[in-house]
Amino acid sequence: MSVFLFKRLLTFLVTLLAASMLTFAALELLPGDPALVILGIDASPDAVAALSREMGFDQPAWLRYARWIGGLLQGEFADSYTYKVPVWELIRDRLIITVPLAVFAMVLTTIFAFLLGIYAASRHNRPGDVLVMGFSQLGIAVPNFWLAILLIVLFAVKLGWFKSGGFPGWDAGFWEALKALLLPAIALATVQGAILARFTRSSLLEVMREDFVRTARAKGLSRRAVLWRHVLRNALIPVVTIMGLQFASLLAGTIVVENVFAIPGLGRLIFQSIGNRDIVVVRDVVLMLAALVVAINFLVDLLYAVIDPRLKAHDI
Amino acid sequence: MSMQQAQPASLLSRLTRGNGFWARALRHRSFLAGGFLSLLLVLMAVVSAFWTPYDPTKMNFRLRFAPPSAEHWLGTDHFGRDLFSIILTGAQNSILVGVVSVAIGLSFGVALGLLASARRGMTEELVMRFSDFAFAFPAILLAVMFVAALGPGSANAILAIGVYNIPVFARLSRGAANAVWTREYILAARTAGKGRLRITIEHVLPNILPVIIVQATIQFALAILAEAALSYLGLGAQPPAPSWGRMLSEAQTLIYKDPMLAVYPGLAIALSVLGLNLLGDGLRDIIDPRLSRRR
Amino acid sequence: METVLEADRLTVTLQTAAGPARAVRDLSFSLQRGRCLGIVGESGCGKSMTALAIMGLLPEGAHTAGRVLLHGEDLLALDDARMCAIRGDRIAMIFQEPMTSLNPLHRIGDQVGEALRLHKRMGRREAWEKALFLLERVGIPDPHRRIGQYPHQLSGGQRQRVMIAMALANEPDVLIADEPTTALDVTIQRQILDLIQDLAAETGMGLILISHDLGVIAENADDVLVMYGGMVVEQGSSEAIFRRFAHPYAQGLFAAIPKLGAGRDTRLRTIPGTVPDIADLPPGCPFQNRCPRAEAVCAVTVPPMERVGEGHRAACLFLDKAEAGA
Repeated sequence: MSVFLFKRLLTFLVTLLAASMLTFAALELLPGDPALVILGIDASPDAVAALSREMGFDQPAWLRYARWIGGLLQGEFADSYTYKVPVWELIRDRLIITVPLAVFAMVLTTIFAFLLGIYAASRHNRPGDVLVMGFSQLGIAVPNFWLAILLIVLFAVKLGWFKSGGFPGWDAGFWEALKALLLPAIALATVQGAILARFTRSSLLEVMREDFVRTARAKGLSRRAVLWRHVLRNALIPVVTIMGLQFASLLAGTIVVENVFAIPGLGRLIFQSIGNRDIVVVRDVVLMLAALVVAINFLVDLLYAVIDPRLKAHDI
Repeated sequence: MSMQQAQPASLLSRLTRGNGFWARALRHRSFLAGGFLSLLLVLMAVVSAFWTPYDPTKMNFRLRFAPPSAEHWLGTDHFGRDLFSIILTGAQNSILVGVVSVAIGLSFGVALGLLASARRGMTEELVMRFSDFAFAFPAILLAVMFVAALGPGSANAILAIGVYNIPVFARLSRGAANAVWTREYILAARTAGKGRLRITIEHVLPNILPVIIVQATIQFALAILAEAALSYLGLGAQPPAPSWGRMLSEAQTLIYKDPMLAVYPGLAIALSVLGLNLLGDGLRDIIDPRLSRRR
Repeated sequence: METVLEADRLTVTLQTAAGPARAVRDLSFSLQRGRCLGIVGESGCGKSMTALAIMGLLPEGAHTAGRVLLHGEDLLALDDARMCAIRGDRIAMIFQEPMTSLNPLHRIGDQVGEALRLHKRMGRREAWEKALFLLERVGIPDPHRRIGQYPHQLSGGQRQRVMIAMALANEPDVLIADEPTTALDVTIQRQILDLIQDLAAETGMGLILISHDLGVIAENADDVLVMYGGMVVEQGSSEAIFRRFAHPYAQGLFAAIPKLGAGRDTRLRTIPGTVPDIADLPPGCPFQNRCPRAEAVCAVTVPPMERVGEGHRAACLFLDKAEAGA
């Protein structure tokens, strides 16, 4: 394996480890005795103490941490306090909603951003550019949950084209399910799309000032041909990094947006589990999300090598 | 530098000529728009601290869901409270969130960044890895966990956002400070026998201040957005304290009854954030035109 | 002799922060088939803007006046689509910076072949074959390997050879080389210039060689334009000009070249002052502030081009005096 890949992989693992520690530490601070949560407020102190011992809540923190991570490495998940099923089953059922939602939003973000970014860059400083940039400033300023509510008001309440929330499940048919995810995806994608559009535009403009663009024009290529054949791919390199970070933001953004639309995904699960003090669910879901985020950034690094031959020569 | 109230047109044209800070600022359209919106936000907060048309917490069940009128400019909510008064008071919350969380992030972050830059070696490596990690971890996830652990409430929400701001400022100030450390006059100061701490305070900090101010404006806007999201989820400001984010979560349950309740608080958030972002971008252009291109 | 390119009172006005600036003023020349026209002057004198104006690649907001005729067709009157058909086919250009003038993400062969596929409608394979031939022709060692490589894998000299191969792909009528060797090592400079000369002689194209280096011009050009402040101050055949510089600026430029064999204690002469900002040119002669012969009249009158000798003209009000002093 190359040095480049090895380094990235190492960072990947270290970040995951740090994320798990941070999650564990944060949950240690969570007030409330988990045994009390499981048994209910009316339980007798003796019963609470007995359950605490049985579930190992009275053991030192480092041991419980080791046991948690050890279990995960062997593919063993604890049972949720509130749902009484292994956490993995909870995660699995929600992963198939949240990941498609985030991917859907990312696709919309990319389409939205590239169309506007390329359009704005090709009419640099002309009215079209100014207009697009103005709207994108607005897009960045809009809170995604507010946009979500406005979309519900317009398309569900006023027009009645969509349901105001919920998810029928993939069993209801692919298009039906996708339709339920459309408004949430738009709410997520608008803000990120606005950010990415600005970034795409400035990256394109920067590349357009490069000498090789003038060389390409000197060959007789039209402005448009230069943009597509020479500028775009060069401009994509920094854009891809941002897209990786944005996908992470989209995944995290589902916590808020799934709540607006009452979509039973990971975001809603984690939010409810925090409310229920269901620690085992929270820590596993958080680690799951963190792993997804880190994995995406890892993939982005690999994608670089595909786009940029300079990296291939030196590092892979 | 002080700016006099613009009196006649000739004074304005004299102010906008030349290449000084204010002259460039007064020519910069988005800076002016951002400055206006940001000033409006501050003004709302200040005015509402002393006076609002109505008591923002006073309920009036005879006047629920009133449409906008001469008495109630934006109408009333489901408890008959004056919406305009609540929105006005909500600005206080947003300003508080922005100021405190940026102050936390700025003081700790800049200190860490300067330390990393002054000492290099392991210290720098440690600070950078820490901020790398924080960057990989989505902000909202961190904030939700943090607030969940410490318990919901305005103070904890602000603290969570402030903590997230630390690595942002640490990374920024370390990068900017490293650039300053390579300059000749620093070398001159070092050969003159000045200590690192003294050089940092006398030379490095003043030089990186413009970049930090620009970033502080942007983080202010992000803090308002993050707090609104936390309050919407019920993890931030608790009732009856007026908060735009929480107003939205209440309004959502009433969208069939009165959708306009969901419009005003969101508009207030969006305009505040827009204003601060424009102000920050404008400042960046005005202070150093080369900076804006790097982004 | 057949004239391929002709400039007739070409004027270029740029849009700058300080207002409109005339980067090139009333420039006229004619370039014959198989000849080399050298344009010499300090940076900012309008050499590169002249080249870009001919190519139709001026920065946004630039205006042109006058005519640039390629085989009698006015290039300045063409729209970008028509100009695209000429650029890279009938006129080609080599730039100063070989390090950044190639696209880092495309293979050498694709970049050389691009102009062929565009203008000659060649297929991918045919263009690749022709690119290989061209790389061989410009003296790239091991072209079979180099053709599939990326620019960062080549040295500066090799990259400039690639640029030349690219420019020659369609055997243009006119080749513009803008400081083609300035960024290269001294040892490679000579090779590259010789290569350009050989290729020009072989194909019979007209060559415009732009340089700030009077030595480079002296060795390569058949005709010479000396530019200052956007204006031509002296022009003529290489022979006539280098036999006797007429304009005080050209004389100063020549005196500033270190000469081999000159005594160690011979002071190198320099022209006092700095190049004027084209956005802020004084009325009258652009060289007045630095000219040893300037008089009051120079501040008000733009000197016309006057005949100095056979095919040799210069723009100075005090030519006689200048000659007397030379």
